[in-house]
Amino acid sequence: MSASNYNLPYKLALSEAHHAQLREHLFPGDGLEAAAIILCAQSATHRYVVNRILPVDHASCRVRSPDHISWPGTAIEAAIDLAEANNLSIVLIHSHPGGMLGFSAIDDDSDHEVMPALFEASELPSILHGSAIMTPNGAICARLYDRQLASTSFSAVHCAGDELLTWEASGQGGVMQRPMAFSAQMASDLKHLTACVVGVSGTGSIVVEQLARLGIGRLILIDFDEIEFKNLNRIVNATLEDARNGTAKVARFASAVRLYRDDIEVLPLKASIASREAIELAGLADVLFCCVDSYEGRQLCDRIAAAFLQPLFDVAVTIPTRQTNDGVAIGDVCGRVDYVKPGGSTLADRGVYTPETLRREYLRQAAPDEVTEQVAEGYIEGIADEAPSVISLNMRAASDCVMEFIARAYPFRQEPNQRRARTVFSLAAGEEELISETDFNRVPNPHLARGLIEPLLGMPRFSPSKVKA
Amino acid sequence: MNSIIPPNQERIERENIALSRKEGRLLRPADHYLIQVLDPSFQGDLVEIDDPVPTGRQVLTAAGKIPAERHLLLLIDDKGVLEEVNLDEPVDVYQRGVEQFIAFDSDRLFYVALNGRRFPWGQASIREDVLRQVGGIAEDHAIWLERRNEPDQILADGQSVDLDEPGLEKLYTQPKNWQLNVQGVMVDSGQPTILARDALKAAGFNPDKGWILVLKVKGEPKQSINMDDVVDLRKPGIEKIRLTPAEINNGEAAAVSALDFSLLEQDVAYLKHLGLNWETRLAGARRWLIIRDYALPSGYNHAQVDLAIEIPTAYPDAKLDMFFVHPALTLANGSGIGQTESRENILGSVFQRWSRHLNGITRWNPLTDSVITHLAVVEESLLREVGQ
Repeated sequence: MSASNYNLPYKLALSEAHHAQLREHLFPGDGLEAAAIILCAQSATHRYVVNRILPVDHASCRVRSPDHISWPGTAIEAAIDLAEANNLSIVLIHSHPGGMLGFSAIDDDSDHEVMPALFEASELPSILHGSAIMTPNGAICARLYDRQLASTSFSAVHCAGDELLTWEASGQGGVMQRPMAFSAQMASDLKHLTACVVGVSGTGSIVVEQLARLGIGRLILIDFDEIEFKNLNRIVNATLEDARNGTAKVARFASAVRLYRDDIEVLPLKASIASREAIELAGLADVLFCCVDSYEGRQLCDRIAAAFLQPLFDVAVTIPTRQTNDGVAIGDVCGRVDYVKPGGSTLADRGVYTPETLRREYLRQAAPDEVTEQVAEGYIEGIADEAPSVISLNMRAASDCVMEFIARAYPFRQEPNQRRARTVFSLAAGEEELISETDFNRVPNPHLARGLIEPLLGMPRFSPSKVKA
Repeated sequence: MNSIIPPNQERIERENIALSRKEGRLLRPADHYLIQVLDPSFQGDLVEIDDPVPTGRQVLTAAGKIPAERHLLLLIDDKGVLEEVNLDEPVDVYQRGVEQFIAFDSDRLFYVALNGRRFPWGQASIREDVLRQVGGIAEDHAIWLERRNEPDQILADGQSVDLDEPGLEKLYTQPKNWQLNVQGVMVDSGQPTILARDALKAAGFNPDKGWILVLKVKGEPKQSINMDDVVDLRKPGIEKIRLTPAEINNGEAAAVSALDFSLLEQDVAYLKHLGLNWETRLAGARRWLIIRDYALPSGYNHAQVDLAIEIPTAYPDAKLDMFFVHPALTLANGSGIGQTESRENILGSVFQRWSRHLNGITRWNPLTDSVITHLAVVEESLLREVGQ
């Protein structure tokens, strides 16, 4: 991944809560400029996430006018101390009440004074610091400096709330308009996005196919598994030859996508998401799709999305069965799509996985004799079927999942997206149930926006200490 | 008949025809020429002839195959083609570049086809290693005998093909299918090398189950290999990969690695603070925190035990549950303890399982629960049984 990183555009992501906090502080209602300090962690070399915000007290500023602010350097000292512990980048942000999304000559001069002081305070030679502007409409533009004070602009700033907001400066002091859903402009807009799909099997393969055809610019594919004959009835693009050769699922897609797209970068990784390599690669992504079939996989995606401030789309299907006098019969045919915004209720908050199910899954793998319920929890509950014929169900769910993404990035719904934190459909009952973000209890998430701060994802299993596992 | 030798060259005593061809030089005029006359096993010595254009009879006689009438002679030309030489037929060894003959104690020819090319043979069977030499077949290819109405047969090392059967025996070669015995399961490999991990998978063993791998090679001491080592199946004597569950028995080795995986920072601080002797150990895929010499409240048959707590990979998002002690506990008065019947072998010691769980109201909370809170559960459970 190091080589492909080289020419990547810089991206900045922040949570809805941080965005709201910044907007409130930077636009107190008096029409005067205001300032704050942002501490950023990284999810990848070129992707920064807002870890923490330190508002600069309005009263402490020597000058606050509609087009100028002068604030005390002492505020920076506190930021430096906090940044030092985890090698965070410091980004100074102030408001342009006049609405210009761009840096003025005064801003440039000011940066050239302040940035050297920030670099002086940091030991790490490779660290970058920067500055940013917010306009009254909430748009942000930002740039980074290196030690030689050469600056690079962030190509886009992402804030995933109920809608996926992206701000790209138009160059004329304004912000680029979001294209209309399903238009050709949407396809070219998607070219700037990197999506990570974890699990490229039943639902994942169909999610990948859609994203690639929709025009996504870069696809990260993570799956440890190889194609087997039993998969051929539900993994698109998989062939008999793949099954014979045990081709990696991600490898099949990396080559299949290139048959119809020559302007897409595919980064396949044949590895479990429970590996450092996979997590670090996922850090490149702007959006995360979780298409795994394990609790642990979902738990990791949940953590990754929170740590890297990625909007997370989690898709699952299931066919509950019931006992009749004639044997087992279909109880329902269900699909579920969860949309998790960074800082919103997590998959854990929503009970997608629990401390109990995680422990049980661990025991089933590590010590199968310890677990009494031995029926594999596959698609069809209570039935151990290696090759269930579920591609139609998978396609429906995978389509719902990608439509959920489109509806968030290029809104088209009549009802607010907020009502659809979770969508569950029942094909047996012909019903669709919507569950709102406010229906879930959210507990504080200490791992939000930690980026690549060690231990990775805040999990002891990824502690970098000198232990073997 | 040696007019072919340029007259102006000086004659030497002996010229080895095979050697001269090998070195790519012209034959020198000589009093004697050395050719090879092989037996049907492709063994044979150099034979001296005086005539560079000998007849079949001359070759056989020179090789001591007397009387020549009772023998058959084949030549191998420079393209590896076999051809019968009649007794009175002259062979221009020099011009044709023939350096090898095969002599048979036989009076009739047999025929065999190898990769579609028919050649004669002087006896009723031909060995696999001879076929290899005749056909120039590389080691990584196997020779197959074509058969009707039944699967073709692969020739084993040194096996013979019977040429006396009706019809022409047809042979063909194919890249060898390499085989490896993995714990008694034969694994076929299309490649001459195989990753140990892939071999295990192909044999149906889960490579992630924590095996110790032992590679046995004939005539060599057994060697430990890793899951990611490559086994070269071309190496002679490769016998099998043997699997041993990666459990470590009690002994001095146990003290070597105290930390196989990490706990939460606050867990480590707490365990250190209590001055406990602890380690984290992998046993196969299972992950154990083991606290040695954990002091018990009075009232048990032991004053201290080894305490084991299983730590799932997704800890602390995955909950901790139950605990294990070694040796097994009873109350000091001899009574047994409820829900401790189950036993677990952990790294060679038999532990007693205490099936103690958070009750329905107190659920595991990943944000606040940890080894620290679970040790509180352990302590409470141990105190409760002795009424303290």
